[in-house]
Amino acid sequence: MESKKVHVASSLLACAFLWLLALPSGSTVWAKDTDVDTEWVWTEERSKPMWWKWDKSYYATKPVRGGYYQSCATRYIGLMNPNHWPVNDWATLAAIHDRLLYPDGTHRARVPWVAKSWKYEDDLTLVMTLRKGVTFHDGARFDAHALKYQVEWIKDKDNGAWSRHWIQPLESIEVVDDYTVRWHFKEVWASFFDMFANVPGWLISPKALKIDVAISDSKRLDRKIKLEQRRLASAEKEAAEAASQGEAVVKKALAKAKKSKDKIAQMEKALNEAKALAEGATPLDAKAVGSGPFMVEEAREGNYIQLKRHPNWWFGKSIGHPDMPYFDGIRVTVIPENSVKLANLKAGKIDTLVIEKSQYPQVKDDPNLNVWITPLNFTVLLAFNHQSKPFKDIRMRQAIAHAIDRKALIAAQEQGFGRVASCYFPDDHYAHNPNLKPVTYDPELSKKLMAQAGYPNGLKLKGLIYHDPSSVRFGEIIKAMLRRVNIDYQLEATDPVSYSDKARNLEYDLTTIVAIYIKDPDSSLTNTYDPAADSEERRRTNNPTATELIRAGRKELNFEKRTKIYQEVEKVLYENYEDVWLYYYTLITATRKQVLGYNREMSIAGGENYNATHPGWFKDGRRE
Amino acid sequence: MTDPAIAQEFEPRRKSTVGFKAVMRTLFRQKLSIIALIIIVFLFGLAVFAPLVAPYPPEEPDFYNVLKGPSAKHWLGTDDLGRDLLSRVIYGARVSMTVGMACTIFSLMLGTFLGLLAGFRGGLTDQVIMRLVDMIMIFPGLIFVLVLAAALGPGMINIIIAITLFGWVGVARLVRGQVLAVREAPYVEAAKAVGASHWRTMFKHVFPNCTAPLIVAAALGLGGAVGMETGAAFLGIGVQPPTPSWGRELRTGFTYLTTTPLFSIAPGALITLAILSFVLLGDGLRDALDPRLRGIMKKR
Repeated sequence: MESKKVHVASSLLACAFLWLLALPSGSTVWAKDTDVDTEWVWTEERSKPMWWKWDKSYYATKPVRGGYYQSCATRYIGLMNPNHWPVNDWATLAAIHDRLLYPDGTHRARVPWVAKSWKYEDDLTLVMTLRKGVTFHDGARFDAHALKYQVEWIKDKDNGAWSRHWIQPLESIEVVDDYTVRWHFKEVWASFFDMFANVPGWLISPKALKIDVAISDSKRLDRKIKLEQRRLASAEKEAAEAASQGEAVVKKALAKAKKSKDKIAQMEKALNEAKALAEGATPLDAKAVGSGPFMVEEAREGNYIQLKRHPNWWFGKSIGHPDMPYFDGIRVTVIPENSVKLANLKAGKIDTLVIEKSQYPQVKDDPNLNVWITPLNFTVLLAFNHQSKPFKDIRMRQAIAHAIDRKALIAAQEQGFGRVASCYFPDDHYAHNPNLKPVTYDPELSKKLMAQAGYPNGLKLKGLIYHDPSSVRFGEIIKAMLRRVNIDYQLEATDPVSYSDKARNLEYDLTTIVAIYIKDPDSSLTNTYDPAADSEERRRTNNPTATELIRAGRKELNFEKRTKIYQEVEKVLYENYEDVWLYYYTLITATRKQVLGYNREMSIAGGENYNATHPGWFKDGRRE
Repeated sequence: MTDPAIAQEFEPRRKSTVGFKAVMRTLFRQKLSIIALIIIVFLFGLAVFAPLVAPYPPEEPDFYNVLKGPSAKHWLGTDDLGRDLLSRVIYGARVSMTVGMACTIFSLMLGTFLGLLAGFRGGLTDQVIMRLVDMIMIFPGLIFVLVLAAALGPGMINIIIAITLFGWVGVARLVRGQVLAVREAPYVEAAKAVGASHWRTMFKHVFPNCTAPLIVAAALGLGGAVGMETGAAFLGIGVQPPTPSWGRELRTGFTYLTTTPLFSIAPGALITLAILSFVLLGDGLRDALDPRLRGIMKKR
């Protein structure tokens, strides 16, 4: 009997031990609600990425915590609520905010993050499970209620979110339980995932958002109370003067006064509540509150921003690396001049820099630096104002397209770093049509086409560019090339705010556009070529065939079919010489050799998600 | 009727070859002034003969040779569009010297006229002109010029207008001061007494006594005008690309200071040289024209 008991107990213990051993890393293990959910849900559609490893196959040496990573930016971060404009430094803001999901290196938003998994119930309804254990920098908990609050905050016009029009197809978001939401769409919305891998899905603390609302409510209520008080005074005066006009008139005037008084009382109550919440608080625009690996430590406008490690960042814990992120913090100093930035890098005052192409020769053989050349999903193009008389004629658009020597442009503007563009999508993007070839450089053909279009002696064109040195140089190169075909390209270089204004009012014939971070085709194409979109370029073009295809692509959930639609869009735009696509951008970054943890192969495959999952560290945990 | 002998007694000392020679002698005794003069002549020569001197057209780009260092083909290297830097700084002299000369001449003309008017007429005319001068002088010069140039729009004509509209005030005050000093002089009274009109008296008898300080002001003003033009071009106002301008080259070159330092150093050095030379020449002329240094006015 005794031996049987021992046998059962031993068996139970053994089972328990075996069960513990058998647990793969990444199974659901949490004891309390606040513990981090360690489950990662991989499916056929969302398979485990190749960069999802942190052992020696990723990097030879073990990460060590320590040191403040020093970086720089041309301008101060700007407004720190990513839904407000302007934000000047997205890289820093990305370190502060987690997002619902991430795009991978093929520009498809399908890597789960704070959104753990999702499934369509029908074409207009999506159920999404959220991760437990995510905490914001101010201690607030992320859950379905927080997400709903944020999404509704963006949708509320009064909050001035520029990202509001991005989520227009969203009907509503419903809380199913604390960690499940149901999304309801007005129409089939294939780019939903891309949108929520982007700014609308950058998580902001609901506590901070409520404070922000309270701050703006305080100002608004203050104004309204003053206005209502004036109305009350006027109503009371009216009541006093109405005494001689009869009881009925007096009653009416008094009723009006009472109504005002009640309204004032209500507003004062709301104002007191708002003030209580907002007292001593910093608006989100001045201090971001996310749930990302770093949180704002201090910021001096125009000078620097310093972040420190978020001690409760969930990701590291979810994969068994609780010491992530490894840097103690990040400091981003504002340095406007490129030459000064490079001097700081070489002196070891900063750890990383996006290199201006002309500086490449100075860094490529530097023994203290690692230099990375990476193709980027940016397309540089010359955009026609299709409302402008010359460009209503396709022959003129063809003439301009053939007048530009793209290789020479890349040589001069990008020091040879760049890929000649055939059409809108970069050559590594799934929507890129591989059958389209770059337009040839042929100035003689260009002149011939201009003569056929009625401009045998050339013409003057009005150009619009930003006034930063790189844009001015770009404009000068285009000007010189167009001069060879007798086009006088008159450039107006202006600041970004004026540029937006003039672009919106179509005060140009030809301008430069850099389509940046082209990920999901829908948002980029819609912003650039759909006349109904709310963007600077909205009335610039009007190609009904392309527009119809773009809208069809928006509603197509099948990836293969969608890809074909967008490749067809490229063909339509290409054949119509809709714009002059010039080149796809290449990025050069230099990082001090003391910074470890970068795996190039995984970075190219993982893109932004690799950057989020594989934070760097200093050698020996010390910044020297 | 005035005794001609008496009138002659008080006739202002006209410029004579003897006086001019004395001025030149004094000037050329100063080594710095000689060097400054040589440099100025050289720079004007560059400006005038730029098409003959510059090895390449200044606006012709070579996109495959951008930001190259000095070589046998391009002595100062190339700029960010592959244009020959040496040619661009040579042609840049045209803009700077032209703007400098034009601004100085127009400032002198306008300032002299208004200064003469204010000093000679006095009363309300003087008050109005001098209050206008005071209003303009409240502003820092470069700010005034930049605001005006920005309002007028880009281009060489507009920058000349902007600099002239600031530059005349100093000349006007100078001339007015000179006029106030001489308008009560006996020869001026004599001229009035023999029936000379205001204008004749102003221009024939009073004005000649202002020429010495005006010459010095012109030389110094040239330096100031060149400085203002390059400052405005540095900030993107004035002549527009692709027209070469020292100030604009300096600004663009600053971006590439660590990669192609000559891009900034070459125009910067020429700007410094030009302004310094004008200032030194102005100093030399002031010393040469100062009667206290050359002896007192001779009586016939």
